[in-house]
Amino acid sequence: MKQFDAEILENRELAEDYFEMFLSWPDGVRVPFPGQVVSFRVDRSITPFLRRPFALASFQRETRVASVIYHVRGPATIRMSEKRKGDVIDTLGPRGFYFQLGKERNALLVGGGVGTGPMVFAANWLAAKGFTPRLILGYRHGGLVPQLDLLPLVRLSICTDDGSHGFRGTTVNFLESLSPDEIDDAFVWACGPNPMLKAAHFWAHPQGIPCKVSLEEVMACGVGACVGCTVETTDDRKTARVCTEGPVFASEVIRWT
Amino acid sequence: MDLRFRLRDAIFSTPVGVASGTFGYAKEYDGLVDYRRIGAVYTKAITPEPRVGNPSPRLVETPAGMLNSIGLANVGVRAFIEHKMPFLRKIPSLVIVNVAGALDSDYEQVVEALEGVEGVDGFEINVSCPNVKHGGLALGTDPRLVAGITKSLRARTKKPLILKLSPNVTDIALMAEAAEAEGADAVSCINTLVGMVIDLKTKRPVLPFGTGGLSGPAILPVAVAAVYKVSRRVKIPVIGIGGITKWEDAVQHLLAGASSVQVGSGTFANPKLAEEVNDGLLAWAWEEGLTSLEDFHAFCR
Repeated sequence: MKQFDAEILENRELAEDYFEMFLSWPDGVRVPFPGQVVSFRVDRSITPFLRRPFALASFQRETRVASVIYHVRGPATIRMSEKRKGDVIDTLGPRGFYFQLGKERNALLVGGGVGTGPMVFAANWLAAKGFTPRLILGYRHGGLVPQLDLLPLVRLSICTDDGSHGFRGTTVNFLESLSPDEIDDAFVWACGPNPMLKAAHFWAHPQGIPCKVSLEEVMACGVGACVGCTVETTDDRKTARVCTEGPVFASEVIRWT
Repeated sequence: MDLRFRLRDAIFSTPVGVASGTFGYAKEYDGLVDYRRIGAVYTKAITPEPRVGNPSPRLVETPAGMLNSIGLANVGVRAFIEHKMPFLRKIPSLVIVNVAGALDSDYEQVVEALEGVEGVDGFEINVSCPNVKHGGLALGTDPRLVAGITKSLRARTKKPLILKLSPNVTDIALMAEAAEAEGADAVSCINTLVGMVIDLKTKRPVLPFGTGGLSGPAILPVAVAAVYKVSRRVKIPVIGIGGITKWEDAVQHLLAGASSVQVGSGTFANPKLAEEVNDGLLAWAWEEGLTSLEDFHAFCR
């Protein structure tokens, strides 16, 4: 993990209030993996006061360009959306445990809202390794569905709550609709709102399908010092810091409430 | 110019330290900071036994600040000695262990366990945590209790003993006087202020126990006023904490009467804050021709 000024190469709107910001990734900063996060100090003002963590949405090894997909929903992300090509942003990262492969080969990647970015990163990363991942993304309505750069091997399924685009229903409703063949040798990686992650866990776990989830919590330091971003766990630790022991956890480790 | 500050055998090589609870056990910031430019690391509060801390959410951002309700989550004194001290011993900063507990005996146990440990340069006694039900803030709001704990710990340590005071009292200087009378070497002020944020969606407080501790730039003037008041009422040094997010803020603390400062939650936004504050205030002192802490303290007398 390093602190560096990243140059903004592009900052574009993908869907209603969803933006993708592309950043130069300096030499000497470690190559990031899907699930890892960066935190930005958006500017030097004292409100908002804290850095903002974001999971990476892409990384191009050849050009060393990384990106994050973010939802414009408060003062920090409004200011991020106003940044232009050539501006720099104070960046800390890459940080945290990433999604790691087990022995299963059938990737079911579930994302929604701001969880879109890391699942797109994971899908392209797996496709580059020869997998044919299913990328299942959920949105409230069609206006929120982003334009995404996906490798040809990625099989995209869009779900909307109102049926205005793709499958009508939640991402987990979509998982439930898959045939036994389609979930053979499967594993689930998920990132998005907590109810989605919980539902993905309770779909996968009873069937013995390994499920990993990437969690979001309010963070202060983002480096493990403040112990503010904890979640309750089912193991001896009782709690774990999302920034340090996460953000990616095996879903059975989380105490779902 | 000599802004070094001494407490017993401990010499603070720079006037800027990093406050307890905002810097973990120092290793968390390894690779991001230059410890040579951090005078002292005040560790996460240590209790006799490990503590998991409070339920989440533990943090909420506020105008120019934040509330925390961590609840003294820490590894406990044994694991601290075994797993955290080896790194702390290696860094050039002084290591001041922040000590917390529910009962007087908790504080005594921690100080006794650490008194002989190499690399522990002093103790900061947390009688001001707003996020635990017993000890903490309750202890720090009664001068008789502050006197009692100071006396008892003074008998147990020859190392620097600093009492960390709460602003959540009518007269903070009363607590400082009580600590001074029983042999404290310094007081640090201020700990966080009690605050609350209510969520309009749930119509209930965001934090699990309702209130949390307010820190950040919002509390700078409260902290400066407390340092000003306390430094007039006691002869022992005052360590200023609260609201520092740039070197000018630290200068205000020193001018108000502080002999040293700690940067706190400002480090969350800017890991290099302590170093930048240190460099900025030294440069300013040089330009202004202030060569000692006495020079700083001369103006607001």
